[in-house]
Amino acid sequence: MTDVPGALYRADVVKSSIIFRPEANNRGRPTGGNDRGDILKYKIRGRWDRDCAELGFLYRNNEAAPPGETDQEGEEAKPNAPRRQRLALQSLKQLGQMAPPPAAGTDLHTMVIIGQIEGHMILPPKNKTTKYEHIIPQLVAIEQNERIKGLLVILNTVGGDVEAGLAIAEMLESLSKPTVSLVLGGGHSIGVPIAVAADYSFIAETATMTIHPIRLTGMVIGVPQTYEYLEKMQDRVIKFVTSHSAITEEKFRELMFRTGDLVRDVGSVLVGKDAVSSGLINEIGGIDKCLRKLRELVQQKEAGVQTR
Amino acid sequence: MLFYSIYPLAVVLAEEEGMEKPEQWRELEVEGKKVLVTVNNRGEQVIARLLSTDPADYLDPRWTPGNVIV
Repeated sequence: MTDVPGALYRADVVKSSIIFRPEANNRGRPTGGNDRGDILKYKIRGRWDRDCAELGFLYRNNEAAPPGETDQEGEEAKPNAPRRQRLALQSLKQLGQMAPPPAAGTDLHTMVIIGQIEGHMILPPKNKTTKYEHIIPQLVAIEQNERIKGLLVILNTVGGDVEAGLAIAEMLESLSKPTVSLVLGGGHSIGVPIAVAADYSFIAETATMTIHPIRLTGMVIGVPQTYEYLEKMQDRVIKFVTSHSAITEEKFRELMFRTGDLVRDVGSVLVGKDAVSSGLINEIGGIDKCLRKLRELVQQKEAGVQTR
Repeated sequence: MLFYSIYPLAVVLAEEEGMEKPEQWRELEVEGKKVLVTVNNRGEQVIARLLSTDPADYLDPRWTPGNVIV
């Protein structure tokens, strides 16, 4: 090993530290083609800290590295610097990344809902989707994990499957742990019930929410939906939103069927403060307010448990 | 499927033209963390998304999108 030119060998080690290798019994690429949900067990052979240690080891033995490199590394490579610091600098330089910070034991978890909300149908791969089968088990895990105290839901969604969206909203609403939602960018269509399902909701000042009727698209078991069916589905959404926010049913229906707001369509676009003034969302805010509120709700809940 | 989105269903379901083959997506479990990977043209599995609710996981550079799993 020692006769390998320094730079070459170092590059090799860097490579191995960012590449994960499968277990021996899983050698080669997994078979099965494009099967989503094909869960395979992998283990990282090299551990990050061990790889870093290797880097450090090489580092110490590389005082005679190629001239171009020694110059750059000169000030970072102070042999007297604490070893840990040298390693961090090394990995930052070589990989453009820092070594992972010590596990902080986060008690507030977060869930990001982006793109289309995907339910019964797998959408073509160009769509960015939030999948039902990812979100629902995560919510179950959050409910059960005693270390997790609260959940922050970040929404930036264009809508999606009604049933999947309502399912996520129903799960959020029934979660025993404090939940706070934040609408960033946009929380449209079926994103609206998800945003209001949280205990407390925020919207960024420039974020928007589009409220419009459910349209005659999609099929149910190959049969075009009837108008009554659509009405029924729409009522589920309206009922959920009005019972979980301060907006009245009249107001929500008025926004949904408003004309003149959208070109060639009915509905309305609520920007930040409009969403708050209509009673849909609790407050305008960003990440700082969200986390402060979530901490407050967690404390309230813990205090409530203690007094009982 | 009943669709409630600001994107028309036709746009969402339209197959892309001129794409030779759609991106291959796989879900893997690496060291207990679920990751969504794509397969690049060299057949390597490239991390596309980490599926975790723990924000601390996203600070771990091993799960940076673009990293390769072999």
